[in-house]
Amino acid sequence: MKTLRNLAGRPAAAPLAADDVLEFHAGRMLLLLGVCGGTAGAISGLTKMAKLDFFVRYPEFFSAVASRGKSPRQEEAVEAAMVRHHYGPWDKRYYHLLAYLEARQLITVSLTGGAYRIALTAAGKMAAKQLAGSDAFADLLKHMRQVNDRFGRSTGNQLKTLIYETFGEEVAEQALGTVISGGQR
Amino acid sequence: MSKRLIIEQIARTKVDGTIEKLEFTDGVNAIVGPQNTGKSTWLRMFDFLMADDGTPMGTFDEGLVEKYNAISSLLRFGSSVVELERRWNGQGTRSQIFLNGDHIRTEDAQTLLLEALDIPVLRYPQGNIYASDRTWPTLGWRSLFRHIYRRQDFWSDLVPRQPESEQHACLLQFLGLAQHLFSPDLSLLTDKKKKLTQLEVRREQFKELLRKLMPEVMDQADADLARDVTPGSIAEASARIGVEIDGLISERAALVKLVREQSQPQASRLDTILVERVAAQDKRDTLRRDLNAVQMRIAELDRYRNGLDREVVRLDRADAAARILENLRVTHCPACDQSVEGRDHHSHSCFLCGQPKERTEANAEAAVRRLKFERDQIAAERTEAGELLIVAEQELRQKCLAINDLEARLNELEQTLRPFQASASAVVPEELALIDQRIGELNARRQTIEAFHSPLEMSERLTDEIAQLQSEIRGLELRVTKNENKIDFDEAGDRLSRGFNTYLDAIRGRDPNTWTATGEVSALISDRRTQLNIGSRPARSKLGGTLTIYFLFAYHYALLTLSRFANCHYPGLTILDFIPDIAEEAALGSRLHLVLSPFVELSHDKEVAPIQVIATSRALPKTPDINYIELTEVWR
Repeated sequence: MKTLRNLAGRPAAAPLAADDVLEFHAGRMLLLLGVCGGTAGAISGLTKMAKLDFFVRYPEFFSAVASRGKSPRQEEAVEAAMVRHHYGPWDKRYYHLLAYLEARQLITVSLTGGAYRIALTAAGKMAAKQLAGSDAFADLLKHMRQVNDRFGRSTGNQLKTLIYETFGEEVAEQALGTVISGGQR
Repeated sequence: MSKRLIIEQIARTKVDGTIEKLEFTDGVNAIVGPQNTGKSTWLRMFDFLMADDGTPMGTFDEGLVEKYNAISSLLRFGSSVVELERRWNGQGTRSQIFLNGDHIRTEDAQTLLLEALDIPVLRYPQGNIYASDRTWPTLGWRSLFRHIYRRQDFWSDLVPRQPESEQHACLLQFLGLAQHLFSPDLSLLTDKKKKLTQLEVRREQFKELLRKLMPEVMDQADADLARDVTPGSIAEASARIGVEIDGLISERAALVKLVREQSQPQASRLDTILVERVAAQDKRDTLRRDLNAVQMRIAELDRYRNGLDREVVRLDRADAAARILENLRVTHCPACDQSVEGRDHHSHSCFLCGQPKERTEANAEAAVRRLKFERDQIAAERTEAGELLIVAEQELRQKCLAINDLEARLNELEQTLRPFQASASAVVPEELALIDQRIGELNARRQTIEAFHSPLEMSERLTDEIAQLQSEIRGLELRVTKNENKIDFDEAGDRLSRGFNTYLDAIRGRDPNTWTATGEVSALISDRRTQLNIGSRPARSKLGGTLTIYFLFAYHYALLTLSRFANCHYPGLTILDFIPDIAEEAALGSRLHLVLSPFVELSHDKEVAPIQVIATSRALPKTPDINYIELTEVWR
């Protein structure tokens, strides 16, 4: 994963996927903080951040949980794949991503009571606002708001338990490091 | 002769460890004390010690359970003395019995007491011994003890609330007859006779059922066998059915041959049609498989094209985000949060980490060009996927058309085949169907008849078992008869009668106003019941009020007199908790002396001694022949 600028020199024979572009993830993360972080634009805990991101990246799993017993599961595309880690879905690139955002003073990362608090700065809020106005992010923004309505108030631990209980075969029973599948490219 | 039971001491332990004791001697003992000094309570506690199967809380009142936690006694059996103790917990819900300090089970305590007194442990019948299905209960110590200990409130009948059969068994035990009458042989004989009756009934029901069922499954030819159902008759019927089936099979084969010969001329055309039909079906199946593969390819291409579309959307997001974020400068080190504003950005190394930069073009225009290239690539892939989809959909339509054509041809072939099918059924005679039907019926009948083999074997086994039982019963009957010859009911009745009359004559001799009933008491004892008469009428009909009390004293006296006979099993102990209204208060003492005096005399009889009588009374003037135990402390 690199910034688009640093990927510009990639050989033509090597396809450039959006998933490899740092800004693709950075943009989503800024929006996530803006939508799910309340007025402060802050999320407490890496676990909660990753689980909310999981439901954003896997709309199919979100539909399964949100509409449990009401409507059949719809087949939807995965925004970006995650892997099975110790506490459920995780992306090791989060550290790179957070450093990228922090170095540009878009977010602050602070340790509060044993949990990391990731919060948008004023510049971050401005960037998130700009992204929200972009057509390319319109669908994602709509989905993110649904995720916030359903899980914005849950703790990271509650979300982890919910994912384990609901997606035993797809997540909990997978070996550590296994890519969580959920749709096609 | 059974051993005597003499109580030497009764003791009870308070919860604080204090021990209260009563000492007894051979002969007559009187526990004397005013009302509420606990005379009856001592006896009730001793009764509980004598292997009562209840709990202290269920037997005594709460205060007693809380005040004491154990009752014990020194008991003499013949020449040996043992200590029996019963302890309970604070709530009185559980208790344990100890013999000389060793814990024993309550149910074992009953057997131990019987064994210590040489009283045979036996079972006795209830009701008709052959008709009743009930298991013979054990004649335990508790049943016998009810004839030894008369509670204060039990002066109305011989042994209140004890069933007649149990009462009778107790008397036979005391009289030494029970071991002969209720011998293990009789118990075994009874069981075997019951089993024999059951087996005979079962065999008869079995045979009756077979007799009813067999004619229904056999037809006329086997009717004679149905009258005598045996393994042989069944085998014979089965063989006869087999022969009939063989004949029918031959007949059927001849008919089928004839049908084949009649349909021969049309065979070649029919073969051609059938071959074509098989080929068409094969081709249709192949086409269906191909169609399925094409459908899967179309679905896969569709997914691929959608994936490309979604990737375009994602690249748009990456592009949009990059446009917003690309110009933001790194102002702080994410590791230490310190500002990096003043650093040189123009070297060949990264201004932050110091590592060499890649020698590639890294600017906004190059990024836009790279993205455009990627989008063009995806667009080309999408066009190609679209073309492949069109080809696949054309192939799908062609396969569908080909399948439809084949389905139509197969329909035509089926239509062509119908006349052949009709003519074939025309040449199959009705007789063939009838033969098949008859063969089916015969096979079913043979199976049903053969299924009777197993029940018949069971019936044979029953017969063998019955013969074996009959033989055992004959042997047992001989032994039981021999045993019963030892029983002299008349002698036993006389012994009991003599005891009654000796006592009643004695008290009447002292005071004619005591026993005023006319006629001698006679005990008529049989194997089924004991009848106590006064004169020629049942004692119960002639007794009332005080006479009943004298009669019951006489009963206990009569039982004690059995101690003189070597073949009787009465343990020589009587415990009498007196009712208060045997006489007016002032005359009570002398009246009690009167009823106790025959017991005192009996205790001096060398042929009977040692015996022990324990009685309670509110007032009893002292005499040298009675051991007085005085209670003075009023209870609570």
